[in-house]
Amino acid sequence: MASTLKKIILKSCDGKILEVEEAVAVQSQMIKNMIEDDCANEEIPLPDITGEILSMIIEYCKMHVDGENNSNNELIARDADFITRVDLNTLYYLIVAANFLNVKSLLDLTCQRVADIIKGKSPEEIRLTFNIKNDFTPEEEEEIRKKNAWAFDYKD
Amino acid sequence: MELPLMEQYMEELELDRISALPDCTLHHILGFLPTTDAVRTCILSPRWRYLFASMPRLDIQLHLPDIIFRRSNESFKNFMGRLLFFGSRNVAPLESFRLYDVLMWDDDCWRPYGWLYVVLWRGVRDLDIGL
Repeated sequence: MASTLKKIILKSCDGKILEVEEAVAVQSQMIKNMIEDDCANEEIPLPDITGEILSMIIEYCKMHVDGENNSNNELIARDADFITRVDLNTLYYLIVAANFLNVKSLLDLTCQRVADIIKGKSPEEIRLTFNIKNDFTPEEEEEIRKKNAWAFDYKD
Repeated sequence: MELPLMEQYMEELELDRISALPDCTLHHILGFLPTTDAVRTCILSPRWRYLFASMPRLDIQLHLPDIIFRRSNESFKNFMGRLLFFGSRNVAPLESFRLYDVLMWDDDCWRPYGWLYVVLWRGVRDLDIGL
């Protein structure tokens, strides 16, 4: 059928235009809804997604469409390979974009990656990794630690 | 021309982007963490203080060594009380509640019933308990 070859045109916030096969584009629930509502015949502007991030997302979606017949383990290995190549800044933009485009598997993968980075780290190490500014006074921090002693007593 | 760009780049690298994510996304991230790690994020900054408590899907699973649990049993019970009652002030109902591997002493064995009562009162849809 001709419809399987239909291309969807996406435009990033920095003006990059990408043509994507419909089968790949519908990995995004948002775009899938637009196609079903017949709103995807012209280029779709994506206000907060840069061309670089959009290309990565398309690469990811393509990987999942092409790998549909692969074993689950192969897909997991490819996902892992994809996500470990990503630095923290890019990871953040991927999360925002996966959220906006509603690509559930990519949102899971990116959030899982952040969780893996947090896992087993001390609060100080987490703050340092993500540049989180600690606005608590030492007294407040001590109070919170005391209230949740059971979680802080435990070290892996 | 190059210096301001460099400064902009350095500033970009120093931004706390993760805390700027919406609550639902941070909840999603916390959902991938073991309970102890997720709860410990409450100390990162005021932004994170009550994130765990407002999670719509609570999955409490503890593999605390007996000795630690004995020492901090009281703080865990208080935590559960605060967690369930604090959350009840939220608009969003509790979607799911999962409680596993939590040790209870004989004189506390009724306590999970109290938690269950609150969870049901909060209109939980999925319930999974294994004690």
